[in-house]
Amino acid sequence: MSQQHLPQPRTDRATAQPSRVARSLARGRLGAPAVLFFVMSAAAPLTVIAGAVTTAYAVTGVTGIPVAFVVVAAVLAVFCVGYVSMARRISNAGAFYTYVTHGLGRPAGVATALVAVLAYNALQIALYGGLGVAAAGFFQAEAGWDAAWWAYALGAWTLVTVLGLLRVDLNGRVLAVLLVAEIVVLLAFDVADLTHPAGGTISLNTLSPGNLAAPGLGALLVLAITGFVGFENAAVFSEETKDPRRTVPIATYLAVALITILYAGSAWAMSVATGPEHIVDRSRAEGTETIFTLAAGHIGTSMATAGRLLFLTSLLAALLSFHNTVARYLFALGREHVLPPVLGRTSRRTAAPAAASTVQSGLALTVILLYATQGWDPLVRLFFWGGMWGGFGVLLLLTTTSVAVAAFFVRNPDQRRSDSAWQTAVAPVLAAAALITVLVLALRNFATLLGVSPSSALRWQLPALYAVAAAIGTAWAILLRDRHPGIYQAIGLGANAATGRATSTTPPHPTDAMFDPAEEPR
Amino acid sequence: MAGRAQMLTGRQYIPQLADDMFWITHGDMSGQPQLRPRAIGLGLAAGLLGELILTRHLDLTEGVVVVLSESSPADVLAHLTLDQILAERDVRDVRSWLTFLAQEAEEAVGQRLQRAGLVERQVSRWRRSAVRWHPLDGIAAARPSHRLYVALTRNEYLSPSDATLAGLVAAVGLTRTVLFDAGSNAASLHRLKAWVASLPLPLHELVAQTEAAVGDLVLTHRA
Repeated sequence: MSQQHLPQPRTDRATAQPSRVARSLARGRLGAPAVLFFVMSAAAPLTVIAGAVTTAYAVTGVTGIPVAFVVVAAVLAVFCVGYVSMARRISNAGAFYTYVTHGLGRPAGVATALVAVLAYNALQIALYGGLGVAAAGFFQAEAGWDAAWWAYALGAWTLVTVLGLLRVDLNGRVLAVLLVAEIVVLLAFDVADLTHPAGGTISLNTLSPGNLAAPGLGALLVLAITGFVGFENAAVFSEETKDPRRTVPIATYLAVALITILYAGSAWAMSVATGPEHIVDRSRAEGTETIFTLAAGHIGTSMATAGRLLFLTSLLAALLSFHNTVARYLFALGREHVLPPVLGRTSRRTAAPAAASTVQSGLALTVILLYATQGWDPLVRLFFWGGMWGGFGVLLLLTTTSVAVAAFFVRNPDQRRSDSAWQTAVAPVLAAAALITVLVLALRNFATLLGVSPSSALRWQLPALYAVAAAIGTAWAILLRDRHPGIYQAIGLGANAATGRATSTTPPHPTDAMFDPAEEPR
Repeated sequence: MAGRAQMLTGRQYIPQLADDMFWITHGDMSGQPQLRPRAIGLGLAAGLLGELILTRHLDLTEGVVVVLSESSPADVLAHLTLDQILAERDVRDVRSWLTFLAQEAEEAVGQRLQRAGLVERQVSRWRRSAVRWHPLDGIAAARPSHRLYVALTRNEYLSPSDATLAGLVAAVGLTRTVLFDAGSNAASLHRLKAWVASLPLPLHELVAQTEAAVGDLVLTHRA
């Protein structure tokens, strides 16, 4: 993969003079709080704590989850140094495959894109299992309704499908209010747990680094990474923020810090309330109810009921957020013609990426119906396996991206000038080394991660699916290079594929996306 | 209607590229916006820049706007737009100009049409910010999309301005509102594509940049 054909990185816009135009454009741009809210609502705190963490205690039987969040936060903080530094230098910075295209070449970029589509789809569809079970339990207890999990999952699916097509991002106020409410409830639960420790003493056991020596460390780290998914989205706004040099980094680091405190703190508080030796049994007995029954005993049932309701809205927000992430990936790939151009079309009135959104919804519906008809367990097999498998995919994306960031700065010495060696060399290499280590541990512990026997074929089959996706992506990119060099050149440019470059010297070509034959008038 | 405006200004109203774009993005005679406000803004901003490229006041290469002539354009709004560009020589990339002009483009083009007596600006009684442009001359409103439809379905000549219009309509995603029925088939789309491909480079670039800007609206949740 020769480097001279890669799209040239965008010049740093932060150097522009303040002018009337610049000031006017700045008014429409986002500040750190807006970006932070967007990122945090995708992270959906209650979904992770009430859903993923309790299920993880139950399935893996490992208690070191709180300390795993802290370790992963440290790794991600180092990862973000190079990640946000490179974000200002490329177009379409929200997508991992753009980084990989710039750093490791277009075939690796397309491979990464397909892995990302698979991983984010897994994360999204997994949530339907969690939501179905949680909603069935909630309405059974509160209203006496006796519907199956998949009925609620299908209800949520309808809502997400419609909202996705209407392009109601639910961002802005609704999401902000829900997010704040979630955090308040979680903190109240934490305080209640910590003021009522089991046996009267607050045990720091689950926070101790000693847990890292326990078997199953790789499984814990993947779980923690799954919890952080969403932090990478701040970079989507690189070109939309008031000050790209500061806003995106501030929002990204703040998100990582907030998520760490909230997740590690809450996972630890739960173990304090039950006693570290009982958290696994309690989680196995009560599932996603654990955090609420613990709290109900201390601060009353109404608060716990509010928490259960917010858990459902949190799951919905996460569903919509991941749905939009998948749709955005498919839309960008459609605009680039790497995937069928029809995916790059939008609905006229709502500007939603309609075709991409429909494809994601169709996939989700297929999986929900498959689980419903086969009678497979929605909590462990859909929510937890799907979530962990998706989280493992994101770990692959993070690892590849960290290597790509390091490679990018080696290949583009002129891009290194305005930043320190820590930002462009040391941190990216450290992050890559750390993430590769996590990846190896995760692969070794994949059976623990799924809670299956070490001899189960699943422990190889599931990771292998990503290898298949990557192989298809690489082959597809090479085919494009030989048959459609114009499309090949524009890989990684997202919507800018229309101009054939971010900033370069070749004349532009409007893409066929605008004229794709599928758009034939009725 | 246009007659009265002519008597007042002593100038004949000549439809401009952005005016044509205005009608198509507002559903011809219905006056209903066909796209989200930001996308309409970008389409009209591209129309305004296109007018200045067509009159050879501006050049556009590789995403950079270059002023070719400082002479006054005949049209008042084009004059105003060129003045803004002349006053900000530091801002050269076309994406910044598209985004900047998009903020006021609907109001500016709407007022130009109002001066020509072709639309009436209506403010909603309930929401002050909700402006509707009520078309007063249905034939003028429907003319641009009809012109494109006829030329593309019957394989007739498109002027550079109309070929640019066709490209911008496709870039904002409104191809199907122009080529709306069975009479406009794959061959019409193929012709549209060929016309855009044959555009002079600056106009070709304008179309591509508009498509990219509209796509980025979707990717950054700003649509």
